[in-house]
Amino acid sequence: MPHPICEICGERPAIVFLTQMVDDTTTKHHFCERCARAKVKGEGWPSLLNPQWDDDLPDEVRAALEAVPLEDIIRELFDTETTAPNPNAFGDAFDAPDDFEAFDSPFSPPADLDLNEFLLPSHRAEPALRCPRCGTTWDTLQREGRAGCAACYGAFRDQLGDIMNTVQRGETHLGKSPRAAQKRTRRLGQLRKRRDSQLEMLRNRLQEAVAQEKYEDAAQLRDKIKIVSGTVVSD
Amino acid sequence: MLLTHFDKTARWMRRGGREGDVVLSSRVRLARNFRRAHFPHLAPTQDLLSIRTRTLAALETLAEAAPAALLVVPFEKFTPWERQSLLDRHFTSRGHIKEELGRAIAATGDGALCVLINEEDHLRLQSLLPGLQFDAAYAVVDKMDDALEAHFDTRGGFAFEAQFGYLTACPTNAGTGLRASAMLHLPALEIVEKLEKTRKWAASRGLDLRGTFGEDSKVWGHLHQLSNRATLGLDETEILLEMDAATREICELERAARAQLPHKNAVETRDHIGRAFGLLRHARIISCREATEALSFVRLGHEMGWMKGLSRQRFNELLVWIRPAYLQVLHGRSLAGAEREALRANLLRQHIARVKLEAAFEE
Repeated sequence: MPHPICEICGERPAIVFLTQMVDDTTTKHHFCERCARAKVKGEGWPSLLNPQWDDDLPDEVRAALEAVPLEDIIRELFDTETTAPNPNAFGDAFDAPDDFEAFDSPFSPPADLDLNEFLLPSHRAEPALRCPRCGTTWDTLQREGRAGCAACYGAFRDQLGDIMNTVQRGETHLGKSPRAAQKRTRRLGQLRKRRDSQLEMLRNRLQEAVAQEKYEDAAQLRDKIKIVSGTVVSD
Repeated sequence: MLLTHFDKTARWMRRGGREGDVVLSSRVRLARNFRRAHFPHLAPTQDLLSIRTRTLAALETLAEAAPAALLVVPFEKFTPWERQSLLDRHFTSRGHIKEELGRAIAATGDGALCVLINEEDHLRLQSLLPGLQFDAAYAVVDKMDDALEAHFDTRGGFAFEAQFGYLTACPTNAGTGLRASAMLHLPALEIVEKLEKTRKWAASRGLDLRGTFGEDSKVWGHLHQLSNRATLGLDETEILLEMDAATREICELERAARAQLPHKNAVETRDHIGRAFGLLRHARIISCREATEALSFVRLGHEMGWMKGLSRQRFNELLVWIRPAYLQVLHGRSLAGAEREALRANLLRQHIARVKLEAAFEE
């Protein structure tokens, strides 16, 4: 998925994401840091607290929320963005060796260390690659050797393709496909229908021939009916 | 009890197929999943149950696609050892019987067709036939696959796409979803110490030679499973032909090793076979492991023409009948370890009593 670009300058990558909900309609905004700050300072921002849904908040809570300048909220957003636990960084405490000296040692990084904090934004790790349907990450899939759902194959197509080339005989399916069976059944149905209508026509003509006392024609038709009805159309 | 409705002698134990001196059975299985549900390890219980209900309902209407009537075993209704007895007959897998909720098998009484529900994949269609006959086993599962596919086509359908074929929980099964395996009896290759070489040879052909109960299992009684590794990038026919050719080559290696035994390893081999015969003939208490190893040598004695009295079918039957869980099914109650070991020894003594040594053995 390409990283979204700021909707104001259209240049820098967006890092502020806002979702506004007004009367069941959701509007999403994404801005880069500079444009977000400019917007806050300049023309001002519509209140984050929509009067339609904060009516039932106690007055003191509402006052407290409104007292917080939007800029602070944005700063908090930045902070939570960069300090959110990153599953790629050094594993968690459960993976750490079960001896306490390791934690005291000056060389062992704290379990919740996030390398991204120390990197320039442009060098920060990509967010974990994740299946949009079941949430399985590429790391999990590789570690456990199992996909979570059919959509994982689409989400990790490139990565899987590379792996398939080494563990499998190629990266493209060559065998049976579900359509085959369906087509065969449909074709058999058509053939059966055609035979049945042919039989009906022949029987009608036979009746006519008998009624008109054309016995030679009738004998021929009877032979034809015998042949056609003997045609077996089945699986 | 339902489990006694399954034939005591499964189809794979009977005579049939080719290369019966080495190949006990051929198994072909197809992995299929429903497009809309998460794979079983992530699916919520409700989905697992609905998959089972829908599959069983489909199988009911598609009875014609099965070689015989299907018996349904919903796992919640059976004890772990009853489920274990299904594994003893090779009707399902170890991973499958560990779980209960929403899991099931639907199988013909002789196990020629087993539909595994909510194993690693939503559906696994398996056919198990005697000797070497991948073509016939594939025909059984292919027919059921066609029927199920047509049935579910208007109900969401199977997870399939052009690039990766049939989508499976484990990407190593994607593509055809086809795994073929042969159960091989390779005592001579072990005695002449060529098993490792054979395993490497198989690996060079993209095939795995593994333990008796598949992946990560140990080898019991010189029984090895040969199976294909690749499922993507080649079609079903190629997989089956490659497996067929490789199985026959390993049969030749085993036969060459057997032919060598009376010359190079005569004393050692006769010692193994003689001791095994004595053990089975006279033991009053015997563990499953010990009995399986001994049966393997007595079987080898028969194949070498040094003994007679038991058919290949009887050896196959005994392999399963002496397993702890199956013994309990046979007796219809749970048995303590010591009681099992005594009953096992009795059963074996009864059958081994018919075995006679040939003159060639005494040479």
